[in-house]
Amino acid sequence: MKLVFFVKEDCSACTNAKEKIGFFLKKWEMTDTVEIEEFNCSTEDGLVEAAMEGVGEIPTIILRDGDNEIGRWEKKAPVSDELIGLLGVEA
Amino acid sequence: MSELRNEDSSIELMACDDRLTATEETPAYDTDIAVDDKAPSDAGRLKFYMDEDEILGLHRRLASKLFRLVRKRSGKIVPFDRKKITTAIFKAAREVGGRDQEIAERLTDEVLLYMYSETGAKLPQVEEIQDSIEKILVERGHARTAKAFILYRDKRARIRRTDLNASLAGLEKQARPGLDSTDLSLFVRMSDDDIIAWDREKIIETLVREADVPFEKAEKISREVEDQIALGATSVITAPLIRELVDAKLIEHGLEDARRRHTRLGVPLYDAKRIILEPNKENANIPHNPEATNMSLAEAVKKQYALLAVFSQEVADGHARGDIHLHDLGFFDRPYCSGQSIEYVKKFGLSLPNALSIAKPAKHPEILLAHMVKFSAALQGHFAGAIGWDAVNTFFSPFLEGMSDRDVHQLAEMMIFEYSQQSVARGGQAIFSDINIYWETPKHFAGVPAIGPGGKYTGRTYKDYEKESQRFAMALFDVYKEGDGTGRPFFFPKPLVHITDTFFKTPGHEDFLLHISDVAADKGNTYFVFDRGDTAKISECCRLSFKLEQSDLDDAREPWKMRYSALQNVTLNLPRAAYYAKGDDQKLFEKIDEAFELIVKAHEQKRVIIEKLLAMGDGGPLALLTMKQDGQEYLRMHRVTFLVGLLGLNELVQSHVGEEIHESNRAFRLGLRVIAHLKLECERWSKKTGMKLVLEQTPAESAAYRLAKLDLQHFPSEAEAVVKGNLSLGEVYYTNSTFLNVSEKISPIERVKKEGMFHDMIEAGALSHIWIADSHPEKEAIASFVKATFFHTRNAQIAFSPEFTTCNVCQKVSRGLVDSCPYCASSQVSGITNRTK
Repeated sequence: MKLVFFVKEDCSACTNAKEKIGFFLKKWEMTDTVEIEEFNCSTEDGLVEAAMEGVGEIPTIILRDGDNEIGRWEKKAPVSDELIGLLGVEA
Repeated sequence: MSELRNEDSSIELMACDDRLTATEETPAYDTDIAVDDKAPSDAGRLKFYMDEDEILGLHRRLASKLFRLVRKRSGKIVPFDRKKITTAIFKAAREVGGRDQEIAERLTDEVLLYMYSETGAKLPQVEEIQDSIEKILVERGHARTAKAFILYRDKRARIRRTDLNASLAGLEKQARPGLDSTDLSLFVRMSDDDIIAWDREKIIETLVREADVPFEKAEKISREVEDQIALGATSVITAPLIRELVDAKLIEHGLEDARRRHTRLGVPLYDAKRIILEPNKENANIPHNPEATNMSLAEAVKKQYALLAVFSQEVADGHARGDIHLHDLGFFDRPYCSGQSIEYVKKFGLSLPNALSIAKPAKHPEILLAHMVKFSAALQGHFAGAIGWDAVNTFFSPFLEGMSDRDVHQLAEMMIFEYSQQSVARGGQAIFSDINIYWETPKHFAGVPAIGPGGKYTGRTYKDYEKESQRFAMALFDVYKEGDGTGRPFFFPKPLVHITDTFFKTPGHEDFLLHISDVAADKGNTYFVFDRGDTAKISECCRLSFKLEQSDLDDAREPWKMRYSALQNVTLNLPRAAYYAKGDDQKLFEKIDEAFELIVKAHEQKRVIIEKLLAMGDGGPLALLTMKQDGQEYLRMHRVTFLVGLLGLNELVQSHVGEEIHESNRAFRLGLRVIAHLKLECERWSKKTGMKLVLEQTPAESAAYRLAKLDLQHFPSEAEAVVKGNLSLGEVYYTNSTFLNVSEKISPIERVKKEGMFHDMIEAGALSHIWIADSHPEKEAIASFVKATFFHTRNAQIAFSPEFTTCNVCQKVSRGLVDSCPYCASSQVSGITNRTK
């Protein structure tokens, strides 16, 4: 599993989303099993990746299982229950 | 008394003149200023003593304000120019060895003050001025200068007595090298329909006045030009030719700046003939009529002026070389495009600066339409590009209550025909107009109090009129579907339908989508603009859009404030950066940055000229844009954008990596990286300059052609490998903007998806054309395609492009481009296509 973040440096919503997901991954003890990748959309590379992924809003968070996209959240962070389900965390 | 011979004698003369003048001859020169002239004695007088420089300064200021005009011998009244007096005095002085021009300046002051004391502010005549010069020269003790002046005057009088007509008919060229200028029997055909005798001094005067050339240098050049003309065998020469000869001499003398200032603008006879006799091939929107040829000629001259006097040499050269393309140079003195709200005319009526009559806010829909169209025409005279109107059906809706469907249809028909048939704008063109249409009430207008007839609030919001708004939208597309009197599609106003998340939640949207899809398939009119999420924008000019920020959405409470403009569009020749780079990534981006910086300079220079014109206010050429009906100027400079046009990304990529954008992932990613880089450059320079720079797909096919042609000249091997079109016929072009190669067979959805991946970075507007040519897809297929594009791509806007043939004999219209009419077999047919390369 991989969570891909598209963020900007001056975006408070981005920081909040990252912190929230980081908190839950730690709580669920999944920091080692869920890979995190972050693209800064204030850079060329970040913009290129965003375009390739069809990302038009900041922040956008994409959850991938291999090559398959299994979740996408735009301008918001996922609610924990939704993420739990997608990550397969046992309650 | 000494002549103006050297510094010593100059001092003597100055002292002599000032002493005598100030203390004995002319009380006006008294250096004592009495503050109480009734004081009984010197003891009661307060005296201010002025030194010589102060006196001279006072003279100069006084003298320079005395006369504004002068009557020439021909009776013609022209602006007064004191330099001519100074030149005449100094020339006479030089004949007898004088060298100090400052003394000639002072004597000029005296001549002027004398004339004023004799005749007051009466319009002076040339002979009176010359009499005054003689008098002052004699009275101030410059006898030898006076004599030289009198002799010169006499000589000129004799020349003038020559019978002009006889001379023109019979004069052989008499000049020989070494002859004095006044012996050259030559006549000059002036630009103002006059023919006058040759006068070398006019060259001197012109060079000093217009080009700031020092007098001595001007005189030398004038003699050289005279010698050159004398070598020829003509008895009549034109003023433009003299100017060209002088310009050549300025170059010889290394006076390039002076040559620029002295340049004559105009077009060669050949070009003028072509413009007058042949249709305009570069812009399909320009008709061929006297107004249009007037515009083309004026545009040619203004373009030259812009490149010489508005933009720096660096920017002008960048345009001429083809590194960048400055759009609408012939319209440099106006902004580019505008987008606005009809609420402005609903609230304030039609009250334009310098108008002969003022109209109060409309009370009837037909009058509101008339105001809108007339205001559009006025605006078109002040903007180079499109005139866009926001949410037209929404804002018309309060006027439509109680109207029958038939009357609403009639109103829609009037709107479209009024815009299509008006030949009032720029050279008799139709107004380049766009109307933004929403099925739902846009969410930023939903709760806004509606303005109804008479400019009064109705007490309801626009949401309350949604049904009327939808009725009008449907009616507009009924008319588009019908086409004009012969069934041809309408060119204007272009309907831009906003597809939003709310659109799909608004009842009736399915029928409306099918209707506008039917029009798209049949006539090609519909532009589908995608506003996903919270995005809101005003679109126009085919693809340009003004993305609304939070402050704009705040303004939406008073929609008449929502006025936007792009000040200028400058396109970057992307393939050229690749030619310079020769495969080196770092160099590629360095060259892009160099061209970008040039674009920034071009925008700064455009801002300067527009601000200068706006600062002239009511009396200036942009008075319309400075009117303040709502307290702020119509053109809100703080909200203008500066467009960076993109051209030939596909050829840049192809030249740099050997594959076109669609051919490999590597090529595609390079394309994205270039656009990402440019987007960040826009942001960086925006912060640095305070100008909002944004990317836009370049709108002009002519730029795609011009830059490709230039590159074939400057980079033949590199350009030949990538330009599109027919090289052998010289019909070449670069792929527009970020488009994929238009000749490649790429499925429409793949094209829309891939091209759309660039669109989020192109803030000022992007579009994909879906080429349907002579096919006629079902409206359901188009509607389905539109939905898929909205929900599954990032594409900002799409349009479908069919082709038609109209028969000039039977007037019938057939689908596709054909050589003869399928109805009457006539070969007199015209093709209609809006294919964008």
